[in-house]
Amino acid sequence: MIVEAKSAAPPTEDERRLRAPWRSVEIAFWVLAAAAYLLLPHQLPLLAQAAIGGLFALSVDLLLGIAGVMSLGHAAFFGIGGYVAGLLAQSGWGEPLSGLVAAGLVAGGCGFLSSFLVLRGSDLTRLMVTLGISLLVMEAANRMTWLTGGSDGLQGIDVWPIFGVWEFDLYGRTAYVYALGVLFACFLLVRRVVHSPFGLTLRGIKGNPRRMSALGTPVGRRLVGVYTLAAALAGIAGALLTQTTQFVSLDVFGFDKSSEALLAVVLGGAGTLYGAIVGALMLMELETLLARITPEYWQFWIGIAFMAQALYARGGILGFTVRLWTRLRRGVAAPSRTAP
Amino acid sequence: MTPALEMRRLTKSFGGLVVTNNVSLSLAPGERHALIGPNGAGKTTLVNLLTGVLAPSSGEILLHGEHITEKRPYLRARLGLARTFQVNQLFPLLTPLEAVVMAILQRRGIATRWWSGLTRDRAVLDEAWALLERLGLGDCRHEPTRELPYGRQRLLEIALALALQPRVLLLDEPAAGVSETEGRDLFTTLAALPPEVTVLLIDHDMDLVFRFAERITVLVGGAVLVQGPPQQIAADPRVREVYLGAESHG
Ligand SMILES: Nc1ncnc2c1ncn2[C@@H]1O[C@H](COP(=O)(O)OP(=O)(O)OP(=O)(O)O)[C@@H](O)[C@H]1O
Ligand SMILES: [Mg+2]
Repeated sequence: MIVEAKSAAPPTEDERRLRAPWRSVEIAFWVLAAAAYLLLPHQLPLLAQAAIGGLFALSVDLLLGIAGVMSLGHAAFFGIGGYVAGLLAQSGWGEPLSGLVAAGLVAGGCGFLSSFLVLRGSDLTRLMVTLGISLLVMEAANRMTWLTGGSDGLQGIDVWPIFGVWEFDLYGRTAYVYALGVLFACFLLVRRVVHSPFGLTLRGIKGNPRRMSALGTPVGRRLVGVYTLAAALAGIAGALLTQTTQFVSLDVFGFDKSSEALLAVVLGGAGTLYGAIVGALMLMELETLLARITPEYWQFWIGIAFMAQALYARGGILGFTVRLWTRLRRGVAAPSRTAP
Repeated sequence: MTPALEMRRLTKSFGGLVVTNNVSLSLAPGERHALIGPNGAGKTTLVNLLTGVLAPSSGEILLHGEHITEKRPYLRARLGLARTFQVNQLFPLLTPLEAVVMAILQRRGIATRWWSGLTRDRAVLDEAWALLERLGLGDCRHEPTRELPYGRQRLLEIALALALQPRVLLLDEPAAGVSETEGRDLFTTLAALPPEVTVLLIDHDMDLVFRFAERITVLVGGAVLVQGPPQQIAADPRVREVYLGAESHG
């Protein structure tokens, strides 16, 4: 009898957990981000930058936090996307949305091609190869002055109004709405992917690639897929930066860019998606704050903050908050649970 | 009849050390075969050769008559060759439910879907639930694997292999480190496997091995010492000498 009762269909609990429904904090997060348009009108240019940094960090989180692939050179794709959008606009096609698509496609294509180099070997090899590729790309861009403008950057970028209606303005209003909208759309895609069969496979690969291949998964091919997607998203982020600032220079390829995104992911909480966005925002605020207080040593203090986080808030700011929250709730809930 | 799994003169050496020495072995479909031998005899190495984790120095492997010697590990798994690991190879952050669902999705060939959720196919959930219940993992299926007690992790190790609905199952010391009761439950589960599944079992527990297996192969120093039905192996003086000697300090 007991056996029969047990073999009944799985409780809806299983379905609920695997489906990963939207939580109220998530909705609150996006409502708040949209409300910033009204609440912080003077911060909009900065917030637009944060949204772009957040998208770039999100692409790194997909790679590192979900699939466990370490990269020190993800800025290569950010930069490629930035230059694709810039060159398009410079050569007379300033339509922003198609610019984004083009940047995503080219960056994704480059990601696909380079993935075969990158995904061989161990974590350490990957760090070196990704870093090497990004340095090569940067040097190539530096040499091709006729195309990229070299160290002067790309001049004369004219981006058309969004949908032919909303012009980019000096106060960053359009830029913020645009960047946030694209971030949200990309986030929806990434969230969908992470909670799909493919995404579960990626988490499995991060956890134990050896077991995955014993289960019949071609680990290399899955990683090519996620590397391509992450490169495309980084390219879109780069294009956003070009379009909202109407400028692009070789900085977009920089090692700083790659390491900042990594830092944002780790600071915010790897593998959580939101951590990447929150981390990018915090890092940006922290930088401006520290640069104001100690213009010379701000990087030093960022380093200290980073170490403190690694020591005391593992799982990032998000992990820390969740732990604090569950502890508080448990503290409140404990007495009531002892009641009959 | 075509053997389910066949090894032909399989040899593997690491540098000068010959770890698998000219092993020829053939398992009939549905056979329950045990592989025993002292520590370091090369049992795990043989499993690694069969599953493609290691490439043999020479020799051939056939699965249902098909040459798989050159095939990558994931392709062998797709052909119905599943294994468990002597040392757990699990997913620390995933729950048993997630891990088993992942294995089932992979077997059903829908693990590349990125546009749909995990719950689109009700049948996958039902299957995962039934499997976890069968192995007594139902009540801990939502806990991260790394937080499970060792015995439960060991069961999950087997659940993952069974989720592939293998035609040939290689079990590398499945009961290692679990309690006596858990070990008994485990063998009840294994005994209840469909009769058409071919099983190669490695274990040090002679009681279990002799009860489970129809045929036993004794491996010593990488080579087959003797092979035969349990009664013959039990009576063989060479086996007693080699194996019981090793067991007394193992
Ligand atoms: N990668 C390797 N390089 C060198 N030697 C190895 C390697 N893998 C295994 N060996 C050696 O091969 C021999 C057989 O090891 P194996 O793990 O296959 O034995 P086993 O029969 O599974 O033993 P146990 O009962 O302890 O699990 C051992 O002497 C081991 O040291
Ligand atoms: Mg072994």
